[in-house]
Amino acid sequence: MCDPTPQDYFSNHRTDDLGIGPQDRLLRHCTTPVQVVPCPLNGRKISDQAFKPKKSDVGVSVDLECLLAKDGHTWEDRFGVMPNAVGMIAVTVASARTHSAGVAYTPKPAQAELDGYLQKPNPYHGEIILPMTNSQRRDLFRSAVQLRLLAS
Amino acid sequence: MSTVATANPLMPAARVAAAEPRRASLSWGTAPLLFFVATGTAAHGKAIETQPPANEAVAPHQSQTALVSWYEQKAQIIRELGPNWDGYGADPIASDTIDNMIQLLRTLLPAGSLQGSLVPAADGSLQAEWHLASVALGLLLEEDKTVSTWVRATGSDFEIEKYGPEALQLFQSVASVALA
Repeated sequence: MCDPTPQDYFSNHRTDDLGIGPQDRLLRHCTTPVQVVPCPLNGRKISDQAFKPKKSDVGVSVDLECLLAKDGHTWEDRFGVMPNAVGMIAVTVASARTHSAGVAYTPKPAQAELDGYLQKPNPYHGEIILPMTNSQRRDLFRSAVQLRLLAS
Repeated sequence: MSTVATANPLMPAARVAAAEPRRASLSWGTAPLLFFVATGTAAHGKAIETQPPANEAVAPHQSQTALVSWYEQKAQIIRELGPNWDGYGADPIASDTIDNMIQLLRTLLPAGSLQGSLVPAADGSLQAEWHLASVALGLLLEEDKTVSTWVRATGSDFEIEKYGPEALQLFQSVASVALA
């Protein structure tokens, strides 16, 4: 299932969109090596700190993989679209719903007033809706799959 | 909000005595350091004022040849992060958050402890974290000074999380065993 209803990117109100299926995945870039930490299993991994939004945000920005698929793209096509990407992780919508207030489809419009990549529109943009406690965020992060992590 | 001029009240006297001679002189200024240890929220925070100990010679968590601890080195990298450092529009990490984290680690970590990571987040928080073969440990300092500790056996879904003074006690207890 992938039939989300667009919600206003600039609104402070989000509602869980059941048009996004529980097994669909949400993709998040890590764009800075300072959020990559040593780990005994794989050598390195992305920190759960990469799953925190700005305080003013009402959700954690992600890309909806099912919308990428509708356009014939994969997460691999998406990786690196954000400048300086060092890694990408994925969580299922079901896991996000368990640990947050839900998932919304909030296509990002172009924003000429911002700098660089932030100016660009993103038709795949969605959000994991806050609030999430620190413990919920770490639980959600533990359910994540690390799709890619570039060598340091 | 009360201000207590004392050594860290959460550290047993014996540990204070053991740790004091090893404290760094690098970051102690002439003025007392003031940081706030929240008990769940900043509104209920307790201020703890500490004085630089006299006759300091050796910085903690440093070899005799190293001039700066690992967390001070990593803190310097974080200080240099500019606007939008995470690609999602994050603001730079506040310098007092970085300074307070350094002070917490200087106070709570055992001498010669294992090196960890210092990881910023877009919400202005800073987390010291260790992922070891048997345990994962984190000390999280929020921009509003709320401090929390989380501990989890590696591979387990069960996590212990504490806030405020209990967080500092938990962190110090686990660190003294797992990171020594």
